[in-house]
Amino acid sequence: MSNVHEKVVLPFKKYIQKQMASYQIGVPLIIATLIALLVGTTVFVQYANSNKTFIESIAPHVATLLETQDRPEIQRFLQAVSAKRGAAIEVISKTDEIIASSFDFGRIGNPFEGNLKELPLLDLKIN
Amino acid sequence: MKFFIGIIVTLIIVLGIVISKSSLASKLISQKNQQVYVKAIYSMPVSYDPIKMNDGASLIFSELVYEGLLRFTEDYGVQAGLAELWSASDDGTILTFKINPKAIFHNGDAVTANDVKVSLTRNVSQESVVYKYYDVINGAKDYHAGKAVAVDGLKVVDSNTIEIHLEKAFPPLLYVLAGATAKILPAKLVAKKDFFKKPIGTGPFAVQRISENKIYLTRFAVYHSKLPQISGMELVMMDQKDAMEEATLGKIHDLSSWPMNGQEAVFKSGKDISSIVADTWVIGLNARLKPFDNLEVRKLFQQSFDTQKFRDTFYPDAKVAFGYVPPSFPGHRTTKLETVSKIEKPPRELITINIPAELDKSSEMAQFITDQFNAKGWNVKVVMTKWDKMMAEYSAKTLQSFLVAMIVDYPDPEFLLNNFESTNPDNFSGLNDPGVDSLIVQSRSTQDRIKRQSIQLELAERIDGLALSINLFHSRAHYWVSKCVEGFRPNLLAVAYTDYRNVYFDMDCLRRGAK
Repeated sequence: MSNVHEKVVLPFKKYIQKQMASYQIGVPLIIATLIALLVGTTVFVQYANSNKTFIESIAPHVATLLETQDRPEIQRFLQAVSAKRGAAIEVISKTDEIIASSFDFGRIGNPFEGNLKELPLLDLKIN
Repeated sequence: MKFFIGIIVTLIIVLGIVISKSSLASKLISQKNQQVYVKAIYSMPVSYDPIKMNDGASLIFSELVYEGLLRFTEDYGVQAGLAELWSASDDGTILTFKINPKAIFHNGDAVTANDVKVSLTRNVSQESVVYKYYDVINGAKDYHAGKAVAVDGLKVVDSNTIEIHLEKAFPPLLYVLAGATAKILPAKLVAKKDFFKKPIGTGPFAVQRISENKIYLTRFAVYHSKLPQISGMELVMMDQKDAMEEATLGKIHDLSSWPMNGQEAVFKSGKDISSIVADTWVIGLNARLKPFDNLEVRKLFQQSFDTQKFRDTFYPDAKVAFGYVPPSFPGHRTTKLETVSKIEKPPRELITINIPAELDKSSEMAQFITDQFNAKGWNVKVVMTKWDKMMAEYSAKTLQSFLVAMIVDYPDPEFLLNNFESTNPDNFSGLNDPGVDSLIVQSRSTQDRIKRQSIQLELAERIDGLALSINLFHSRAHYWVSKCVEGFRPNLLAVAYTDYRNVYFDMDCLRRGAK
């Protein structure tokens, strides 16, 4: 009969490697995830800030066009800037009616159902 | 093992190719088999001549059969029509158009700059009802007045290039050139006596036959731009009730020319394509005829009608109209204009209001209008008139009062407000007000956009103050199309500009329907 509880002698280096095996996979994964989250958040914040700045910069012109009730010109303007920007832009009234849209003009006149959530740190609302 | 993996990968690729090819083939077959599209219209076109068009059915026909240098996009912009390129001089007074060399008429003749010159010359002739839109072209006024034999401002540069010289820069002229009246007709045929019995254009559909109540159109196979997918169209004249019945039975595919509110039973069996539209429904008052020649009578007449009740009864999702100009156009009113008549008692003269007989609820509307006015002491009679007859009398300015939808044909309110210019042949109200005339001239000659809009605001206020119409509401369109119709995209300006080149049938849906 052989002894089933026979002790295995491992070199110290191998012993450490065996003990740390889970960390060898886990730690890089966690670090990679954290970096991805960090990069993702940074990119999102950059985009959000850039879009916000962009919207703020065109807002006075849109406001003038709204004041003069010139939807054809608002629509033309939105089409032009959103094509350059590569983003869809909609103008929403205080009563949540879509006044102009570069995304789908069929939405104009319909209620905006954005279900917006506030992001306090970024001073933004997103859906 | 590798051998089997190779076999499986190859099989997947082959299967993918077969599936994609068969789907492409079935799509092509499906397009080839597209059937004739049947669209109901409330009247036959009052005219087939673009220079005499001012009713909806005529404009629908014009957009299908004819083509201008430019076309409207679906959201107020302009795009290429017969012109493939266009430019303006630095001072904006010369517009140059390069005609697409592929553009041909339905009879196979190439479109030339001379065709454009002759067609636009017709637009400023004495027989044109739309002359006012074009009078900024150099020499147009002299030609219209018979003082010149040609229009100076229309210059043929070569067979494919034309220049339009303007008295002053007027960018909105591009809208006019994209509109339903600036269509190009064959110069050598247009003057022939029977030309408009079977007119020839350059549009996506060619006239096959015109009968008493039907227009048969076929897809123009060598159309120079995007080829329509449907093989043809039939425009069928009928009243709204019959049209809705036929649509329910699947015999009509399109009721978009009807003003519907989306609550009609027919919407259970089709699509409701809802969209804003630039119009104002009005009861127009003819100030040429008694008693509406009196401003105070007009004001009292306006005050006597409960527009909100009318709107809630017949078009509940329409918007309130405080003024004549539709929403989102300079001059649109957002608050009620408080006008109080100096007289309290209505005159006893009989007032006749004409309403289109073809409307689904015309009888109910007639009763509603009669009751409203007569309860306030007026002597009103509402007459339901066939649309073509009503339009003929409208053009002759013999109607005392009438219910119509005023559509902004171009995305600039000046073209709506100049209906009130004393010299405009389309002046339905008969207004002759030097203040209004002067503001229209100012609007036309002002290039600064904001200044121009403030003039238009003043103009709209002045017109609203003159009580020439009871502004009922600004409608929200509900276009009914068959559930098997795809690609129908409304035009924000007017239904007449709907681009039927994009419309097609879902053939599987039609087959399922047939079973």
